[in-house]
This record gives sequence, C-alpha cells and structure tokens, in this order.
Amino acid sequence: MMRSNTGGGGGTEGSFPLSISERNWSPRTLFFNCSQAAVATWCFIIGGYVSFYLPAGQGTIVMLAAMFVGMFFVFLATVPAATRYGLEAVRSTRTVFGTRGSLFTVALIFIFTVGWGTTLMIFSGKAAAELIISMGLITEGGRSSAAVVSSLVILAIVWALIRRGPGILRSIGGIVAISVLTLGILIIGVIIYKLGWAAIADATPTGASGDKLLDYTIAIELMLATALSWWPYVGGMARFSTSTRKSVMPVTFGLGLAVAVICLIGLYSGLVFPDSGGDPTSGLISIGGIGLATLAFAFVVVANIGTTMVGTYTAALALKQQPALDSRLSWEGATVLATGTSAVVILFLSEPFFNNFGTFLALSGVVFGPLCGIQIADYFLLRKQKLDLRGLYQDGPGTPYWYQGGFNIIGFVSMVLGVVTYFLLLDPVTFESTAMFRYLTASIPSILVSLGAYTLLTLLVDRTKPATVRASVQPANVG
Amino acid sequence: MPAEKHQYSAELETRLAELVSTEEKFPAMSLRDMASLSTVTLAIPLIALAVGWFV
Repeated sequence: MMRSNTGGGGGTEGSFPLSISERNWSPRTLFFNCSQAAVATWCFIIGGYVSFYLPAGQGTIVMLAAMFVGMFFVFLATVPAATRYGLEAVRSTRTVFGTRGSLFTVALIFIFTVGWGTTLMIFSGKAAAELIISMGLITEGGRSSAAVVSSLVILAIVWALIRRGPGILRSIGGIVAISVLTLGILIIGVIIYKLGWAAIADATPTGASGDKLLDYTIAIELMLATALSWWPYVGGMARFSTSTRKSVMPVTFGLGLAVAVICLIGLYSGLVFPDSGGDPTSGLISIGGIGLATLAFAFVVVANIGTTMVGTYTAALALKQQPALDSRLSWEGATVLATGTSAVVILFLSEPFFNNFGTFLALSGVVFGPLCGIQIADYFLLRKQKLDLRGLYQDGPGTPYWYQGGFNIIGFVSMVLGVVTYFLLLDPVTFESTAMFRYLTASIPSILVSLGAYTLLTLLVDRTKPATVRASVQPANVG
Repeated sequence: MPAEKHQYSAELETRLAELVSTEEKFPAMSLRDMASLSTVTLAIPLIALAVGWFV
C-alpha cells in the first residue's frame, strides 16, 4: 500500500481519493473482508433477539432472507459510488449533506463503529472470564475484573494490528474470514449434533406476543436493522474494488449471507438455552465441557478482532476526511483516538453499554435507513450516477457541494422525515408498534419517505436554483 | 505549514487528475448489475419470506 509523506496520509489512510494502483482488491479479497467485518459475536446477540419471537424454522428463513433485503438498500446507497469514484462513506455524503454537513456523517460513523467495536470487546472479555472461571483459574468473585482486563488486552491486539494501516486487512482478511466461518459452522454442527434438530425445531420462542404476523415482522425488522448497520463499513471496503458488477456477490454474500448463517448460532442457542440470550458459550460448556467452550471462545476472539479492526479503520478514516484533522492527526493517532474511546467505555461504562445493545441495534435502522434513501435518490435519480469528483474535494462558497453555508438543508429535512416515519411505526427502544408496522416494517417506509422527500424537495428547489443539484465542472481549489 | 499545504494540494491534484482522466474505465452501475442485485437481494428473499410464513 502506498503511503504518503504529506500530512494527508495517502488515500488508504487519509482524505485523498484512492489512486488506481491502490484500488487493488479482487472480488475474493472484498468478500473475505466483508465477512471478516460482519461476522462477530453480535451475530449471537441478534440471533438471540430473533429467538424471542420466532421458532427455528421460520427464524432461519427470516434471518437469511431479510438480511439480503436490507443489503439491497445498503448496496445501492454505498457501493456504486464507492467503486466508481473510490469514495468512502464521509466523502460520499458531501453530495447530500453539503461540505460542512458531512461532519454529521463523521460523528455518525465514529459513534457507531466505535460503539459496535466496544460491544464486541466487552463480549470477548465476558467470554474470556467465563472460560477462565470454568477452568478454575479464578473464582466467581474475579469475573468482573477478568472480563475488563481481557477486553482491554484484546482491544490492544486490535490496535497493534490496525495501527500499521489497512494493508493488514488485505493480508489477514482471508485467514480471519475462513477461520470464523469454519468455527461458526462447526459450532452450529455441534449444537445440532448434541441436541438434535427436533429439540431445536420444537423449542418455542420465549418472547412471542401471540400475534404471529407481529412477531414475524419484528424479526424481519431486526434483520433489516442489522443489514443497515453495515452502512458505515461498506464504502470503506468497496472503494478498494473498481467494479460495481464484481462487487455484487462479494458484498451481498460477505455481509448478508455470512452474517445470517452465523446469526443462526444465536437463534438456536437462544431457543434451546433460553437464558443465554443467544450466547452459546455457557450452553456449550454444559453439553460438551471445556473443549467445546474453547472452540466457541476461539470463534469469539478471532471474529471480534477481525470486525473491530475494520471498524477502527473506518472510524479513523472518517476522522481523517476533514482536511484540518487530516493534516494534524497521524494515522496512528487516529487509531489511538478510536480504540482509546472504546477503552474508556470498557473501563467505566461496560455493563450499561452492553445491556443496551438492542437499542443500539435498533438505532442503526432508525438512522441508516433514511440515510440510504437519501443517497439512493441523490446518486441514481438526481445525479444519474455522475458526481463531480473534484468538487467533492473542494471547500468554500461557490464550490459544487457547498449549498447554503456548507449545509444541504434538504438532506437534513429528508433525514428527519425518515426518522419520524420510523418512530411513527415502531418505538425502537420498547418495540411498541402501530397496526401498520406489521404490514410495512419500519425501516422500509422510512427509507422510501426519505428517498421521496429528498427527490421532490430537491427538484422543487432546483426549479429556482438549478446549480443546487447539477454537478459542477469547476476546477479543483484545494488551497 | 505552507509547504505542507502546498504538498497536500499537489498530491491531491495529482490523484484527482489521474482519476478524472480514467473515469470512463469505471462504468456506472448498469441495468444488468441492477438485475443481478435485485435477484439476489429482493426477488429470491421476498419469495423466501412468503414461503417462510407458512412454515
């Protein structure tokens, strides 16, 4: 990977667009990195949530199918622009939020990727503590301390790997992806072999409302939110590819299928071990002893390190999209900021943070759904897949994406309309819903409302100010 | 700082010039791509969700 001597840090670690030579991921590398990013122990928790509402048969179908439906929107919002122009997530939103407005995306990406990474590190620490106690190395009283120390040690490993730059993703992505997919499928096999498919299929969901359609739609909504939560990650990876066509299968299968399959571990564990919340570790200890628990722990550590590495890369890259930060903050400094934030949460807010995972997941649907709708409208309907690449790197009044004071108000208004639509259909915290939710879900209407609002409002404003939408051909002004 | 800023601008300009001159090498998403994406992520999954209701 090329590294620059300037403060910019090159294209792979800084605010510059990727050069042709840097865009060198094959479809296989893209698939492995998508799988590496997506497969982690949040799959257990997500599967555990679905197990509250659906039995194994229906749950299996819904998890696989709804995940792909969510990927349709995430793909259209991120991949075509990323593969054509080499853009990561923050830069790509300059067209919809404006040059300054894209700072909103920096905050979103940093909060969500660091949040997800922190959750995974806490999960890893808890799994390590469970294993250490089962082996008799410490007593129950030391569980909390062991979990925190283990989380921090694993986080330090993540930092040590990604501080060298994203080249590490390319070199070990395949190893991590193959390892976690193999371990995950082994765990599913062990659970089915030890307990029998009949026991899993006959297990009843503990949180079912009795309204079959409502339970079915809640499970679909959970998987849509999971798919939409990949929004911050996709652009950062897809921009290393140069072809939308060659990215369809790697992205949809790497982020969609791989995750859904591993989520089945959480679904089956949640059904047969109702108190597990989808985490198979303690259940595997009870049916297979330390040997199986070690297998699960190996999965947890390898998967979570892989995912958190991609998340840390994405968060650090988002910070460096602002030229003022890019020139002052080294790549290593950006990774310290990202992992340091996680470390502070692990030390002081570990339990409340971990216990609110469900809210965090639901908020992904609330925020990223409308964002996808806006981006799809902007890139496909209004700009006809044509961006002003130079304009994306220009700042100041008169530049193509400056709008009003650096903000595109239409983008923010459309975003708010989408979020309001979501809340009108479903409360993402309590899961209380209106009657229409069971027929529509919440994410899909919110995407469509944002998409429609952005298109209509932009066309309306464009009648009086044509330059608002039209791509400019002004020369770059980077001084 | 001015020297760094100049270097930053020069490198950015070099990259942009390269990318703009080769823009046609990276085609827009075609109808064929959209058909592949829609089949994998919409058509088959929606049929599966309909079937799943009756499982």
